[in-house]
Amino acid sequence: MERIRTTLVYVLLTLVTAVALFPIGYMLLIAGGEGERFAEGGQTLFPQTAGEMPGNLAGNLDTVMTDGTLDFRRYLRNTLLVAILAVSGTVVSSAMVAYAFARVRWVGSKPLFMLMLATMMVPFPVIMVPLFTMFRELGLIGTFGPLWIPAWFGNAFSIFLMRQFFMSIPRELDDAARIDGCGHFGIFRHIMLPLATPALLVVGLLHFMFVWNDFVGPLIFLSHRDQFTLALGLQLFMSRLGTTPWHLLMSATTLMVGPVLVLFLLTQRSFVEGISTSGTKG
Amino acid sequence: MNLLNQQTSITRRAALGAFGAAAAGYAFLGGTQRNDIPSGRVVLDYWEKWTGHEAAAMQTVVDAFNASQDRWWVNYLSVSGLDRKAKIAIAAEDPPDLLGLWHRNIPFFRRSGALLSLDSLGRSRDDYASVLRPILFGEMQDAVPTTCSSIALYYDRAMFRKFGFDPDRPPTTVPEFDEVINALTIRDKDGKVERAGFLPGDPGWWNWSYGPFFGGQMYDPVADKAMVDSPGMIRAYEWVQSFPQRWGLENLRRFQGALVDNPSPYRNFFSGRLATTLQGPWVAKFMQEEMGSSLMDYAAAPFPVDPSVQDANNPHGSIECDVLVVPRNVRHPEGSLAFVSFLQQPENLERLASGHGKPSPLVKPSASFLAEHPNRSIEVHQSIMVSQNAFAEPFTEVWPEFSNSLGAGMSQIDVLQATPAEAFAQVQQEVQAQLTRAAARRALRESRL
Amino acid sequence: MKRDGFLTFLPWAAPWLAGFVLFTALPVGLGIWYAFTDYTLLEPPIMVGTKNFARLADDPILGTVAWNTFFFGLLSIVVGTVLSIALAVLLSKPARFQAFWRSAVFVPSVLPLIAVAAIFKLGFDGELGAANQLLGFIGVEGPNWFGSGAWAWTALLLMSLWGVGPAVVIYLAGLRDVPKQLHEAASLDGVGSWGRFIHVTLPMISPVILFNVVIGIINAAQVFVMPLVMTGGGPGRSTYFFAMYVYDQAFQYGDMGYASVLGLVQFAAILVLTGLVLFLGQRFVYYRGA
Repeated sequence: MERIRTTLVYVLLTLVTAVALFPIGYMLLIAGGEGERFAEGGQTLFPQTAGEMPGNLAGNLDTVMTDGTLDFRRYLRNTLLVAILAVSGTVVSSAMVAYAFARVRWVGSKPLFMLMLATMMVPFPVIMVPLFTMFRELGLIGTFGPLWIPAWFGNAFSIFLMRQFFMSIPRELDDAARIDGCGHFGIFRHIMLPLATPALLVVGLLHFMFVWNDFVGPLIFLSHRDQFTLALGLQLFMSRLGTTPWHLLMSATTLMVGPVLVLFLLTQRSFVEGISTSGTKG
Repeated sequence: MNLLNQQTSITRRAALGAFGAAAAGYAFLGGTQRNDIPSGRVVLDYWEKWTGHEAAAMQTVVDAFNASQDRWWVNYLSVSGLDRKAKIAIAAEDPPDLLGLWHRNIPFFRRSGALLSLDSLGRSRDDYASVLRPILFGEMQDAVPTTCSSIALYYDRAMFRKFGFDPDRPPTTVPEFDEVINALTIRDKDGKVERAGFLPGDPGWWNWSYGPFFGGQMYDPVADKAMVDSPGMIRAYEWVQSFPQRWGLENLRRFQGALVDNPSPYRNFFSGRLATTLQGPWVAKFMQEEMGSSLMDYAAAPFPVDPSVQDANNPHGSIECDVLVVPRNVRHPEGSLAFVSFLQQPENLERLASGHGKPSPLVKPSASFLAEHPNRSIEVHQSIMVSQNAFAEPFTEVWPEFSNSLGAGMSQIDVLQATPAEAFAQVQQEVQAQLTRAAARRALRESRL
Repeated sequence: MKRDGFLTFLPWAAPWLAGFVLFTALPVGLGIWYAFTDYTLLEPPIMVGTKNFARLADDPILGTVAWNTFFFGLLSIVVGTVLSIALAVLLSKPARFQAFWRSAVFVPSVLPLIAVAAIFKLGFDGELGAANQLLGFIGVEGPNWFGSGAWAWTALLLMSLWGVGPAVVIYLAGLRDVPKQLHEAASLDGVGSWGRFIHVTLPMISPVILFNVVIGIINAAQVFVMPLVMTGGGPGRSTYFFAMYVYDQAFQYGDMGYASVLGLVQFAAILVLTGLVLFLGQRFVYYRGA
């Protein structure tokens, strides 16, 4: 009985994993093909033999990168530039604000924290048009500004995450530091930050992913092709559907997915911890 | 255990650092694709929708312009979602110097005062086919054509011959056409369609255009009134609906299931699964690209019409026009105008048209243009361009909404959910409300001036 | 314990306070103002009173997009919750390579939506897509996925379920926090594993369910990229969702005023629905120590 159970668990796990990873494998498979060809049983996109896949993939990636529609290097540069500016802003500002909500004992702190959580409910379309007009008045449309400046003003989700983490640091440490003559800045600098490095990493990573994947922001705020981010570049490539063969489209997708996948594999533990923290009550 | 953990975390961190450094190095150290612009030139950004060979054809004109003088340098850029991006860029007062739009965008931009006058080119309305005049001229000329097309019926001459039809005398009326369609259609014993004589929804780009072939019109531009539920429109879409009725909705769905989202929208016609199709003149170019040496023996004819509206001298057909405009607030209007003027020289327009495989936007194309054109049926397209019965999408600023409503109605017709009369009654209501609202908004703005 | 004054709080919270004023309060305020104007984006706004609000009453498309959004949200939240709890239970079983299984389930959610949409668009292609080719292997002729509303919905739902990773991870954390003694006590009373799940596990993780449902509502109300890339709203208007309609009104039809009204409606709907869920949740959710 117990054995059957264990076997069943493994069978289910394998099945679930297969379903979860299938689309990624599928993407790679098509990206390693040569496009559409006739085969027994109708049209297919699959490569003829497994052996030719790596060679095809390399060739296709090269075709995509040098194609002229997808200026991969420039889009990557733009994306990284925005990401660096936005991620550093989020980490710095969210750590500060989270400290305020976690440790500064002002009466209004709790209601303001609730207000902050409520702002997560404002749908983007509501503020989309006004934000556009505001950034236009500031002359920032067509620059990267709208994509990273707001990050320096704290991001509700990051603040929330970091506050949860700060709350888990024992208060006795603060008290000890206070006896040693530390003020808020001293506690923040010498107690919180060193202990919260993993949380800073998580917040940074999540925000990096957000910037990398963000499509609507660049769609609205950027107009010149020189400034496109990868997400927009991929959409530009996709919009040629009809003339863009699937295997090249999947190669372009691979280019966009590859870096996040590697990043995730290297940091999966932080990721999973960060996400679990957000759901536990504090 | 702890030590091991620490070690893996250190190697991970190192790997992460190396990965980040590699990505940053790749992104920031290498060069990006950018044309080398000669020093001393003022750069003019030109946004266009074309990619592939269509972009290449415009690039040759751009290159010729850049070589013809030493003051300006036009930088051609393919942009996706062009009309929306242009709207945003113009609103942000950072527009491109030259902007290639679809003719359907003109009413909105014109009404918003977003386009500069091109009257200094000294063109008159008579220089252009009558169907183009309202597109290019408002109170002034504010748009010039880049390329124009007319849409016609394409068929395989060999297949016609095989089934006993004269390839030199294609059907001109709908009853004749129905006969051809039924004869060319092949269905297996289960009723599944293996070859369709014609399918109104393939390639799906001109689903709106069947009305005029039956004497119907969906918009009255003079009275600014919707006419979607007019008798001609309803008759036209009853004919469209007759396809799922004759072959069975499920059979058609299975046939079309294989059609949707194919890499090439032309493949059904090229592979012979579709015997005849509504297509633009550029199809000949794509035929060369996709079929290579096994080129089919194709021909084009004006789309067949209801006998009541037949007019041998003025064939029916929809047209579309790509236009070039200069947005307001450009930095160098004289540079933009210099390029517009260069492009409008007949030889440059024709070079572009033949590069795209399209007819000339001018009333009188040159003999060599017609003779050397890549599409052997170009004269058919040319005759539709200048015909009194040529028509375009309703030329109104509400067309984006209008076509959304129309599309919703037509998709009900396609799946036999509603008769054309029922579906179009609803569309008519929606569209009339859109037109009324747009008129009120125009009046509001005018009252402010 | 000594309390801090506002002046101590201010410098720490300053970035967010300023950000709240600049990037939330001000835009929402401006949005409310635009809702009372006629605004084309290319020309300055003109006051028109409540005209844009009156239009809500006879907008034939509004009902469709609201219903689509509501029903799709309901469907994806219900199915998504069941699936992610089931996956969390499965992943919480002791097994070898646990980190691997968990990462595998989480991976899809880190991919860019636009890339995921591209992959699924191909996957559900009528002829060349994996879905129909796999169905072909077992002798079933697959449908034309984007040709009918019901199948397009199925494709969108499958794609959204593929991204349940974060919810699974949150449930996993919730399951970990369920005290073992409760399970043991129930076992001693002769309660079977299914009974323990219903009477012990579910009540204990109910706050986590509530949290996920609230996040689910906020996300479902804003579904945009996925249908935009996959179906473009079609066929007909069967996959046309609220956020797409707001975007079209603003940037395709050039009616910023009405788009702002629609945005406010969306905001109000989210507030009401989350309020309702939180209110009901308080009655049903079990809080430890409460």
